[in-house]
Amino acid sequence: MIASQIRSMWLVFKHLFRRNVTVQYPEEKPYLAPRYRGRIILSRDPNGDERCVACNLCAVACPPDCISLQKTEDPDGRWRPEYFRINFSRCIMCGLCEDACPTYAIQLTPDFEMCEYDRQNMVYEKEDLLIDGPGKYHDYSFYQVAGKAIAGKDKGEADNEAEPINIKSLNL
Amino acid sequence: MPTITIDGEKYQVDGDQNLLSSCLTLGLNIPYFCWHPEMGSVGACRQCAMIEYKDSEDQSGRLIMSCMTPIRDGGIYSVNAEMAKEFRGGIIEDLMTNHPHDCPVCEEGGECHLQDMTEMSGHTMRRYRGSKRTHRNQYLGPFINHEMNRCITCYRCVRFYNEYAGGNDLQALGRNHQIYFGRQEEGRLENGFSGNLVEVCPTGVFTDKTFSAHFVRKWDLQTAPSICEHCAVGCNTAPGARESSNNLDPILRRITNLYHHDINGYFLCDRGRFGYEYVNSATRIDKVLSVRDEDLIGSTADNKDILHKEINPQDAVLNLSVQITAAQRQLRRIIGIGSPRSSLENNFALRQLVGADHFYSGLNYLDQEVLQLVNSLQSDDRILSPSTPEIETSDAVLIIGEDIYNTAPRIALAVRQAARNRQKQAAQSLKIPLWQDASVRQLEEEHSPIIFIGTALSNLDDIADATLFESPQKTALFTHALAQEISGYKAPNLKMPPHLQEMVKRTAAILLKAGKPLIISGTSGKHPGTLQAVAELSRALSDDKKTPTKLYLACSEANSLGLTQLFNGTEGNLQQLVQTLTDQRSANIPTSLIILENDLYRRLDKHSVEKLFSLVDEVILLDTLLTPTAKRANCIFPASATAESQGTFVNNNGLAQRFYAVYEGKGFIQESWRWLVDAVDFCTETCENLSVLKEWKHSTDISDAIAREFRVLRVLDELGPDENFRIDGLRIARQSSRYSGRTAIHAQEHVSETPPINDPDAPMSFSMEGIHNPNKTQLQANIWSPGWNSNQSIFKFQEQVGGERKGGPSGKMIERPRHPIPDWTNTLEKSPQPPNSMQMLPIYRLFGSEELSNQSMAISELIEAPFVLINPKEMTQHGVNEGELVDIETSSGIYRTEIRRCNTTPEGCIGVPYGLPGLETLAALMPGYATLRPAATHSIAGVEN
Amino acid sequence: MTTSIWITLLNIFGVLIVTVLLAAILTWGERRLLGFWQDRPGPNRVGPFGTMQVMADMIKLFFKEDFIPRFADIPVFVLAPTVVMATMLIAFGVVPMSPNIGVADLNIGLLFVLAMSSIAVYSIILGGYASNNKYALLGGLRAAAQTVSYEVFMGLSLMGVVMMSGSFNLRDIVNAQAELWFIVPQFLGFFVFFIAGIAESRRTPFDLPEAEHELTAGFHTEYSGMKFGMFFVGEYLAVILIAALITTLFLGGWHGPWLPPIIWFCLKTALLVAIFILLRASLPRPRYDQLMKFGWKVMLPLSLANLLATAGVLLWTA
Repeated sequence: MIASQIRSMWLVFKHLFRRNVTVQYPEEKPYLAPRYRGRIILSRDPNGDERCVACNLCAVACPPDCISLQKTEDPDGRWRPEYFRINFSRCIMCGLCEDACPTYAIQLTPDFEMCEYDRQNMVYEKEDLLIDGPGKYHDYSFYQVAGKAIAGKDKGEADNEAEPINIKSLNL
Repeated sequence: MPTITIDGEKYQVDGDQNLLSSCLTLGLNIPYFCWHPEMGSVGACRQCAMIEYKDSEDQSGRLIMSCMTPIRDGGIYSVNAEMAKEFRGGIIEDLMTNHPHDCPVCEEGGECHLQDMTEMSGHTMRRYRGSKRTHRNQYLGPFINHEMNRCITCYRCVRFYNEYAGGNDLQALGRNHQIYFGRQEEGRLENGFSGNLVEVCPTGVFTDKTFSAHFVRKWDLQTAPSICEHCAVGCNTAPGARESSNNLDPILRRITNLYHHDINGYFLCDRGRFGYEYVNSATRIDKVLSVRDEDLIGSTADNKDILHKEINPQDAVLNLSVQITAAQRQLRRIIGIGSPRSSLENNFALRQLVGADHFYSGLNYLDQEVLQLVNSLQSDDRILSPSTPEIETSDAVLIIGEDIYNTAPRIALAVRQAARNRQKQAAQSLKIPLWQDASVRQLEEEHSPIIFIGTALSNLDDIADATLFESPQKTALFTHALAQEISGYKAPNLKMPPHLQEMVKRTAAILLKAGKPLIISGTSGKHPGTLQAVAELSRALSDDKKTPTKLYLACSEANSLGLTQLFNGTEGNLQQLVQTLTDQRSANIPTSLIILENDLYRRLDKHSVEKLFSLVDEVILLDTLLTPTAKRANCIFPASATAESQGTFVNNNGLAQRFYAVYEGKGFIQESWRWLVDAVDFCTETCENLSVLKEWKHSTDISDAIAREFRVLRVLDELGPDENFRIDGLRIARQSSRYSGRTAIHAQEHVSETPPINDPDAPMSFSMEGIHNPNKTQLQANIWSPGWNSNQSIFKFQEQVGGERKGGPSGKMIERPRHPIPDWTNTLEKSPQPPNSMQMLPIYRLFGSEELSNQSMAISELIEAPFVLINPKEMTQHGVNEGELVDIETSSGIYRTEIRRCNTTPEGCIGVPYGLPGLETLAALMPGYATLRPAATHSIAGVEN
Repeated sequence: MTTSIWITLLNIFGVLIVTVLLAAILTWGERRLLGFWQDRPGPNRVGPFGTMQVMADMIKLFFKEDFIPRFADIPVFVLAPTVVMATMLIAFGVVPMSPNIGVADLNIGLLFVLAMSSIAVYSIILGGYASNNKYALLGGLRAAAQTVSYEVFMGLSLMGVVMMSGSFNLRDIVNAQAELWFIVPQFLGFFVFFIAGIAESRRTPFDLPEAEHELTAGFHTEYSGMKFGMFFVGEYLAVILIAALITTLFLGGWHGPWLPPIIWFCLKTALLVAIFILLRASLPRPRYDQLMKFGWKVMLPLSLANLLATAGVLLWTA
């Protein structure tokens, strides 16, 4: 037992002569991978429309419950958030919202430098979150694979969809 | 009880049920789609496959559909056998091939039976890469969204809508795998139970359109058990609410059914389901309003109308307390007017405040008289008020003078099930189990007899095998004759045409032959004679059968029968109030009138109401909506709606049921009794009666006080636990454990969270902390079980599938002293009809007759423009044509409406829609007389007075 | 005579200031060392190499709200942190640092030190009790039990040294080691005393009274500002005291070749302090029952055996 304690002390002691793994942050910036889990954004689909369909899955997946939104519907049937709010002062950057998002709308970015002197400024609304591009997923468009018809995509026009059935025909 | 073996475990099960429901009762998880606990089995979806073994030697067994398999004593079955699992997995994969990738944009997502079953069957990855079938959707009216792509062809919708609810405008169209469930052409689903499609459909083909407008997922809704306030059946509901982030979205989001075995079972009517929006309507009061004293440059208000401005609640309460103090020094008189649509607690608080002598019912003489009649009928031992399952099992139904589809809709649905009893008896004699729905419906039996006498009948006309449309007087006469026929007494003085005499004989024979006859009547005809005749008939039938007669009496408002208990006879009616005030005018003592959640213009004719207002100095109103009465009030306090408050309603059966606050009303909204208690708290000196009010801190304090004061209502103190009740030291959580957005929803206002509001009335929390399991308490209204996110999970909380909720039925019968019905002698007296006049008979509409639901946005779309119904013969007499405008001249003024032909309207009568917007003030006059003239000029329909 | 008073006063204040300053600097030193052992720089922002971190911490502690919970037993709550600092500083009074540095030359110096370190535990118990907080109370209780248990063989382990030197006077003990440091004949005593010393000063792995993972911060949960600072400094004083005692008792005190005695003393003490910190960097905290079992079932028999053996050898050779 004693030997093992002394051995661990020796191992720890040897670290005195190792290089530091930390960097001197503000002067020296570390490399952040593209899938680093930092500030959350809302992306747009390739057509430039909001990807978020206000399904609420990110909100329910969020462990500190810091995402809140309300669904609203366009006249053409497209769902979108009336408001979309993330309270970053609560966010733990766990990325579960991104995992849960069925439309790739919510994405985490390699940016963590978002300190504020006033905590109230950590509350981001949809306008603050929306970016102009598709983020990490360039070609995905949710409505192109969903069955719901919206303006510019009628029934039967999505990927892998047959023409709508004319129930007044014989349909043999 | 037969014993069966499932996966090596032995169980005792109910032999009358099929294997699927037995397994579900045992708590086993078996996926299913087409089977529904209330609608039985058709074996269409093949999802509930299990393995049956011949004997213990049998190793392989054979696949069976558990919903189509009767229980065999000693049978050996398996749910988890590999073959069964593989089969079920294959079926779900096939069902899912065409299901769109829609869940994120589907209102059903998160409470979807299809999602649950897919998950349960282990189908997690779509292998199908072919193209998906698509369908075009239809517009189905303001209630229901249609998204046909999602359909899995389980046929539940048409089975419910057509076979169970009697609709005929939803069909399975097309063929093969292109079946389409919809209408022949776009349009509103006309049946009044269409809202149940939302819950019946296992996926998102039919979704709640009103909910979609302010949609949140099921897990984000906070809920509590509530009672539907839109009629007096007392259906249990689970309103869903979510706080609004920006004060734009409404807080109350939707109503879903909350299973109550004896009342609503699995279904609600559309008025109950979609009427909730009145809470969020533009006419909702959420501020304290007072008279605006400044002059306005111009206003469109009527010259008698009072213009209001918002004032500080404290000032208003202080003002009220000053008046209360003055009243104690005999310097002022305070009169209270109660309401049949407010809880017993609110009514009692007002009664306590003003004193029993100064407390009035808020009903007119006639309404109160018929309610007292209902009350005395139900107090007779020979009469039994049946529960919904009892109605469903009656084998002959006689409906007298009550259009129940429009006045007690859920009961009409039960009557429709009763019509099938002959078929069910035939099935039993052929040894076909009743859950074999398709087979039972194949039997070409006649309907069980359903006989109707009265003014109007909706929805049930297809199953009624004899109908007689008569004025209330003649209805009473017919009923009287029927009673005499049954009691064997031949009345010499009854002059009836031979066809009626023949009908009397036939009806009497049917009732006498039936094993479980049922009579339905109610107060909607506003005709005491009818109810007295019904009493006579029930008594005669009971004497003959030596068992109590089942008599369902429908009252008009959610708490009509409860309010009746606070009054003796017709004492305290509004006419009496007007009379008293007129008599005491010379006393010269200032008078305040406190009106509790009541629109007097619907109760009394216009002139009497105006007179009443002129006799008092100050009108104080506590209400939810800006009614015409509100326009005459000096001060208005915002009262909470049912879903925002706790209280007790007494339903048609005399069942006292407690409803709980689902959420806190916004603004200054609070329970009416709290406003009164607040005012008393401000009083510096209080007499004994008032100091009682000061003690009241919780809603249950008042319930207990009522129980002490009224012997009849003494069940109120044991209706539910008080606010100190805890389970394992915890309250019951109103929010699900997945409730989201807690730290963000109000973050735009203030980034730090505020603590949840403490509920002073119920042992429930306005947060996700507490008990979530509905098996531990019936106060938990979030029907959810792991793996069963949809409302289908209710079976986990029932004694057995379709049985009572675990923990027994909620609600308690009020204990009315039993005494036999007196002998009424003046049954057939007839008031003289003024010459050239026509009697106005109230006719009811599911959408339009009820005050609160009329303010719901979706329902208001369906409310008809003002009209009257008239017999074609009279139409020619008066020289008017269908669709033309006529003027109806009444004591309250002239109403201009459209005229419609109706063959069933009795001669000498016009059918006037009760409470229809534009004609609300006529409600108080019915069944009075009016003269009818063609409108001088064709102008916009409406009231002109 | 006047010069000797001046020398005594110089001695007193010198020792006082130096020990307190050392304890303060140790707060930085420990973090820096821990940093190195954890492959990171540690506090390096304030002043050269972060040495001014101590100042920053002091400023912070001084300007923090000195919060006393309203549910606390206020007089006791205020008194508790002063006890630990006072007793530790007083104990330094008898430690001889070089032939001519040292405040008092007490003939029962060793007993005095043991007594003072025992009184220090009152600070913890009272602090824990006065906070009126369950975590603090649990921390205080643990400290009491731990100190009582470990003090038994702490004292016993030193008896070998006392027997060999024949004196309780620390200066005599140091002088007795001129030829041979007691660590060689009294290795067992050194080992037991070393472990008991860690336990006495409540350092990891024996920091159960404040076990962050279970007890938030143990006995000083409710302390803030300079009261917390006193506990903090008290702990480092205890570390230095134990290190200085080990140096005195087992490592020959100021004895050593070439360098001046005070340097030797400081070097030996610093090495021991570094080992204390290394222990914290590498060893996990045992469970409470393991701690007690280890004390009573391993350490106590060991120290008794050491006592018997030393006594036996001494009698044999006498």
